[in-house]
Amino acid sequence: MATVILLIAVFTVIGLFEVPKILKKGLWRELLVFSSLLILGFTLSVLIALEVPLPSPVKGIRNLMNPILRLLGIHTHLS
Amino acid sequence: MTVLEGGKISGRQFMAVLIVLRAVPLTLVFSLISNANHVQDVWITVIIGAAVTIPFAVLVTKLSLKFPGKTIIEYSQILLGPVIGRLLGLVILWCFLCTSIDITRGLGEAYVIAIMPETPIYAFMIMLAIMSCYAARSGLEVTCRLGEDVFYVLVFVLLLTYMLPYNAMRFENLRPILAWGVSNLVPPIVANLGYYSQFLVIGMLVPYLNKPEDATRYAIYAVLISGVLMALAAVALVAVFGPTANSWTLPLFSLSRMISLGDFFERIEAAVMAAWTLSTAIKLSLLFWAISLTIAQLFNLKAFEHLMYPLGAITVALSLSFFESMVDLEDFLAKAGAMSSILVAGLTLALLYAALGVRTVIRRRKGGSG
Repeated sequence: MATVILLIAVFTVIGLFEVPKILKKGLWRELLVFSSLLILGFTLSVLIALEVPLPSPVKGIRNLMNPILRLLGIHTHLS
Repeated sequence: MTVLEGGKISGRQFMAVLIVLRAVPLTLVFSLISNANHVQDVWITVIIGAAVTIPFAVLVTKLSLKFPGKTIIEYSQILLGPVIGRLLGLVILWCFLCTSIDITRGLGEAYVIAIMPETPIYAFMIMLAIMSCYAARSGLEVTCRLGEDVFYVLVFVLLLTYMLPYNAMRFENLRPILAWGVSNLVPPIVANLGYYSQFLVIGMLVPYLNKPEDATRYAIYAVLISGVLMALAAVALVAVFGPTANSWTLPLFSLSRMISLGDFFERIEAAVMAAWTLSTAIKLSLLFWAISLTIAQLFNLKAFEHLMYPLGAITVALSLSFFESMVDLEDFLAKAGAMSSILVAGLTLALLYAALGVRTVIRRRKGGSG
């Protein structure tokens, strides 16, 4: 729980650091993209801090590439 | 239209950041060695890799020079139309993001494995991300100026590491050459080309060169110099460790630990670690810059420097969740990750050149009929 509180603090600092500058310039579209990325970063960080298993695209890329790699004679020990 | 990035870089800085980009995996995991079944032939695969990469780098720079002042994201939209162009932009964005995730995790793992096993891995990754975000936020000029300095430090440290363990070197370890056939060369070549496909970032840098016409020359120099650095690393590692060179997790770090001159010149591994950290930070800041510029150009933003810190947070979070361990990361980087990067870079270039060809033919016909 302490990690989550720390994360909230860190992301609030990032928000307080950037948002006034964006608002001052009146960049609304930038604010939207910035907020989306910040919320995504925060959600991912909290999920990892709470040890929620997240799906990894690495497995998918491996499954997709393994047939080509096998054709080239490259074998992976992980699947 | 608003100019997103106002900075200009010199040809030498362009070359330096490209070399640093390629040298980061060399200083850390050096997949070419770890992925080779028989390490004696790795130096040959480095030469083949460089020979294949030169045309690739030339093609990317030539294409960028056809659209002065435009990045690969912008001219993709001109050549392929707004929809397919943007989709291709998203694929390139994903590639840049994956590379930044890989190196963030790589550096964290290297620190934990080599010196501080008790410290949580995210401590190193967060520090690296903050450092790189700060540099990237200052613009391309700052990153590339730093990159040039880091390049000199990197070359000095690497040459020192290659030369000083000369007492332990047995050059007969490099024999036999090609005893296991050409098929033995394929895995290291795939790993090498996988890393070289990151040179797609040339498409983002060329418009910001103060003399864009020099881009091709400096891109070729970058491939050649990085090739020489890797070939020397392969020779030094095999000469010192022999056929077991592929069993080291951090080969260059292990090589630097062999250095001992006159019982007083020791612990050179600190210099190798400095080279890791500096080069990874430069590579990551260049990638953060490229990712945020890509996002800005895809979504028609007027500023992109605000996106750095959220991007840093996303990169750290994803690098913790993507891979289970160093073994997982190494295997991915040398095999599936490398192959997917080669395919994306190759297909992107093929698609853009095909579109350019069609555009030229249509223009000629229109010009002929008009």
